[in-house]
Amino acid sequence: MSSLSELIRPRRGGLRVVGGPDGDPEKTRVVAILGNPNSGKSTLFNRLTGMRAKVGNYAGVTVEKKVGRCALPSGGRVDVLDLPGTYSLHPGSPDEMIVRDVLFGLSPDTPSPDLVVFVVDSTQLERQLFLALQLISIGRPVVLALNMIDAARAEGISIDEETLQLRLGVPVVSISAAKGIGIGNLRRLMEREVAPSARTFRQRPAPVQRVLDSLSARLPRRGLLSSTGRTDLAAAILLDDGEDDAIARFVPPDVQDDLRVLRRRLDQSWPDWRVDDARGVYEAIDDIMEVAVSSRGEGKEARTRARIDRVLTHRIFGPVIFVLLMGAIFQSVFEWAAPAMDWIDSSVSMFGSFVGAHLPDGPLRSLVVDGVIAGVGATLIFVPQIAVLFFFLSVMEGSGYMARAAFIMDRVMGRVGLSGRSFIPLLSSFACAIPGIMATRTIDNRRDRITTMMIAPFMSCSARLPVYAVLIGAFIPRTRIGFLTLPGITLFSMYFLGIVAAIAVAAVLKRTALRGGKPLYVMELPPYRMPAWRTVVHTVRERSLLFLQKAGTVILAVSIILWFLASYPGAGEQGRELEARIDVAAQAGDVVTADALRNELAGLNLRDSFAGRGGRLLEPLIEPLGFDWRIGIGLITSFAAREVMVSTMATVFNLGESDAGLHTLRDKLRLATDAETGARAYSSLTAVSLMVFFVLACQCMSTVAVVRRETNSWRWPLFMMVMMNALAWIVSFAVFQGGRLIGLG
Amino acid sequence: MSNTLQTILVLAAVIAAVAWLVTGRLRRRRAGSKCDHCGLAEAVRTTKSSKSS
Repeated sequence: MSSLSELIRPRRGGLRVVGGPDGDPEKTRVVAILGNPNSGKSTLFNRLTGMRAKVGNYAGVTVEKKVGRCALPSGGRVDVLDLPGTYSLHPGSPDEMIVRDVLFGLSPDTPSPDLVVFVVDSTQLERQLFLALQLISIGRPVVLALNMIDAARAEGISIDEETLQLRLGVPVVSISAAKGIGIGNLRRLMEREVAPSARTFRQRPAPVQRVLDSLSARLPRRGLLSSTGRTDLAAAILLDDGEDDAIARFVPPDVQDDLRVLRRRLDQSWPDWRVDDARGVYEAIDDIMEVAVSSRGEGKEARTRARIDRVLTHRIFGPVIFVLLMGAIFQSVFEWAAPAMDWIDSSVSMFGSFVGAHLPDGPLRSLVVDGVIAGVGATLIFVPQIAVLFFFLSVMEGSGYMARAAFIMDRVMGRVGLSGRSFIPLLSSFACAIPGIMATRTIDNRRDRITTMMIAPFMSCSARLPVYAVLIGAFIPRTRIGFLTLPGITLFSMYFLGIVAAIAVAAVLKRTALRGGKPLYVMELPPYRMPAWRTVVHTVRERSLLFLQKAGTVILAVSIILWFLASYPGAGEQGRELEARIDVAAQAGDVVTADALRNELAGLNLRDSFAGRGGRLLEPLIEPLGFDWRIGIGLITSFAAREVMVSTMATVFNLGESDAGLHTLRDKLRLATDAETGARAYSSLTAVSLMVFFVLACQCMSTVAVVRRETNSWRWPLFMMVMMNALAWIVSFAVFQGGRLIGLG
Repeated sequence: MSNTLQTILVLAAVIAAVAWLVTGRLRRRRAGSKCDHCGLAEAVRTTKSSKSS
């Protein structure tokens, strides 16, 4: 039995390791954080590095390795690698493969870690020790961090650190990453040299061991794997299904040919060889738990959690509670944000009037007032709504409710051939489709992964919210229905429509191009926790700042360019005639006629501008959806970013009227008239049709680029663009024309 | 301020905006797979670009 002092010794030569993995004396030590999903790895990573990686109380938040730098008590630093959560070293999904490749030294761009901090959720120690034992067996230096130790103690679980340490042969430290408990001890351990454990926790049957020994002898030497580590690598290769690139690259071709024969022989001589490995580890865990842990946590808290789960995941009550909760959230997005929005709205109008009054008449004033202030100001109004929405989403993530929502959705997803595993990427897509598409890496089946990527952009991202909000504010009356209002219900309906469209498209894809069976989904329901308010505040702040940053960069630039395109080349001969008539009317003192002519001139200038011509070119295609050429301009610019639609409309309607600044954008949209008929240009039906178009259309080029990267082909991103835009056109057409047929238009 | 000067300033702003957008896209493309749209940088950072200094 080894004591702690035997397991670790102070490192000499500061933090520069002599003879690191690559023998490079200047190489900075790399410490990897590893563990099961939702054990608090990213929270620990943030605590150690001061970084702000996304954390959440559900499995599958981290899908890529991240590196940060951690300061140590001696003043030195180490690189800390945050790895995605995994349940075993025999991976099923792309994110789990990252972990295996890094640990076995198969990852070409990441050095093998010098130390692994294995994070376990102390309330789930028995289950999470499985991966810990696998890891210790491969001969890597490991420190076991018993995370959430405070929660375990509160549940009456007592873990004997010393005994655990002796049984495992690795240093053990109790911590709470969220509260900062024990982090100092962990940092001290991180700067010491930790000897790899010499423990093995199971005996393989002789035939299996012989096959693994011969296989490991034929593998190229990589990293600092011990002999048992090489045997485990051989086991990982033998258990691999043969579709994995990293393995294919690593294993010599002649060995690959022999693998199939070896598997077949083992299947014949020892049919249970695939599960024997796991059985041996579980027996070892039972022994360790017996001596090191005095309670296994089936206390009062676990019973309370089970009772709450029975209601929240109930076949009928579960979905009802989910829908009511989401309805209340969208209602709050409108109600809570309204005062701040009104304040920003009036401030922007006042600022525009002030600047307009102090600049001389001419193109510069028009650019500043009609282009920059109107364009950027129109999007700034929506910062409060973004903040409220992300406050609720962050609270739901942190509390553990999101995992229950995924569980409820598993039933619905099952009907279309997907599992609840696909719901987590869809949830991420409510913020932005890009991290959502990245999160599909947790899906092991390639067809299910591609299906999920194809439907993730249907979730209404935060860029769509300003478009919905301005249209709802302009055209949907504030009628109260029970405790909800019509604007809240309309907003919820748009988000819901995205989910319905996603499910419908998934159903079609899973029955045609991506046919496959219903995947089995075993989901871990995390314990309910009080959300970490630091994380909630950070999320809200970050999302609001990102939106502001975008308003000050992309939206500002597009507003300037759009102003130019919407102002030039002007109305030509017809415009000059109108100007002459305005002069005559003004000299005659006929203010009413002069104003009407000015309005007509502004409209004509816009209509004949570059942007106006582009909009009119698009008009025949979008007229059946209820959109005119002015909306057409917005649809073109929204391909730069969806929110640009709002700033475009603000610029277009400021330039298209001579009395700019008198109304807010919502008023301008409501009062806009058709230049030919003089009738109102848009109705509530137009607004709904336009919102539906925005729910379903693929306008985000960054999403297309990420799908291209994740699928490694242009086939799927092109399919996604055509499919989504065609669907958007068809459904908007059906909404507008159907609405007119029943007399709504 | 004369109309000519205003026109020159306006054209300079438009050219700067176009240049910023074009070079910004190129810059981000060279930087790697970072999300250049939503800004959720940490979710999609590559290992190299996420190193804190």
